[in-house]
Amino acid sequence: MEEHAEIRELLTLAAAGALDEAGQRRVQEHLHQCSDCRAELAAWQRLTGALEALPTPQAPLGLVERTRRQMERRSAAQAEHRWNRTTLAWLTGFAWISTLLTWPLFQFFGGKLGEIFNLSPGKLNQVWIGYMVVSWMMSVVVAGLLGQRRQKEGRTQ
Amino acid sequence: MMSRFQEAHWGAAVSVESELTRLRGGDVEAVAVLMERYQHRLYRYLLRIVRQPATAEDLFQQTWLRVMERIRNYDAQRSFEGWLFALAHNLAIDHLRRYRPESLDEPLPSGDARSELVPGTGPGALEQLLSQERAGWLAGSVAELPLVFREVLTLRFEEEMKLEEIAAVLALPLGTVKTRLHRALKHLRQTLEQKLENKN
Repeated sequence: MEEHAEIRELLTLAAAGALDEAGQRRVQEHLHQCSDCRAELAAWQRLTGALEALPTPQAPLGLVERTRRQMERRSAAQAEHRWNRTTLAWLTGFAWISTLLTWPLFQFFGGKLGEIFNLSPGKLNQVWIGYMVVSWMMSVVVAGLLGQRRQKEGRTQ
Repeated sequence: MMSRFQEAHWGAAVSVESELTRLRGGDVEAVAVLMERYQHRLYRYLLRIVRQPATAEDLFQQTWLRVMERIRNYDAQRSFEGWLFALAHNLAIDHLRRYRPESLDEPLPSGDARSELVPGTGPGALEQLLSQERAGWLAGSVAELPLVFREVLTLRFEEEMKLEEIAAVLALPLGTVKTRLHRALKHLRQTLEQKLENKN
C-alpha cells in the first residue's frame, strides 16, 4: 500500500518525462499490477500532452525590426560615447601641456609685467597659479556644458 | 529536442556558432539572424511570465540588447538557448520585482497542501475537462498559476527543455526543478477540476 502511494506521487513526473531511469522502471513495474495507477498516469499524460499542444502566441509583426533599430541606435550611441571619451582625454592632455608651456613664457615676460603692475616675484607666481586654476576650471565648466548640450541633442533625435 | 511543429515554425535546430562569432565582433546583422530564429519562442516565454503583451515586447527588446552587451561573457561550452532564456528570465524577474512585486507570488509554503485540500475528482473528470474547450480552459488555468509554476511548465512543455537546462535557466538545483514541476502539474489539475466543478 505504501509502495502504491509512493508511485502515485511519481506519476506527475513520469508523465512529464522527468523521472530518471530507475524511477521510470519502478513506475513501470507497478503499473503492470495496478489499474488505478495506469488510469491516473493516462490522465496526467493527457494533461501534459495538452500543455505541449497549447497554441503558441506569435511575436508581433515588426518586433525583430524594431529591436534591430534599437540595437543600431544603441551601438551608434556607444561608438559616439567612446569617441567622445577619447577626444576628451586628448583635449585634456593638450590643455595641460599648453598650460604648463606658459610657465617659461611667464618667466620671460614676468619681469616686465611686474615692473608695469609693480608686483613682487612672489605675487607674480600667485598670479600665474591663479591663472592656471581659473583656466582649468573654465575648461571643466565648458566641457560639462557641451556634454549636457550633446546629451539633449541626442535625446531629441 | 524539437517537435515537428516547432521545426516547421522555427526551422531545424541548426548551429548558431557562426552568428555568435560575428556577434562577438559587434555585427548587428548577426543578432538579427538569431532574433528571427528565436523570436516566437522567446516572446512566448516572456509572455507566459509577465502576461502582458506590451511588457513582453519590451522585455524581448531588452533581452537582445543585453545579449549584445554580454556576448563577450558568453561561455561557448554552454547552450546559447539556455543562456538567452536565462537573460530573459533575469530581466523579467527584475521587471516584476520593480513594477509588480505582488505578481511574484510564491507557491504555497506547504507545497502540495492546497492541492490536497480539495479531494481529487479522479482521472475521468480531468479527461472530460480536457476534451471540452481544451485550449482556452487550459491556457487560462496556466495563466492563473503562480509565476514559479507557469515558468517551469512553459520551459518543460512548450520549450521542451530538459530538466538540467531548466535548472540552468532558473539557476536552481535539479531537485527544486523536479519539485516545482510536480507541484505545478498538481496545482494545474486542481485548478482545472475546480473550474469543472464550478461549471457543473
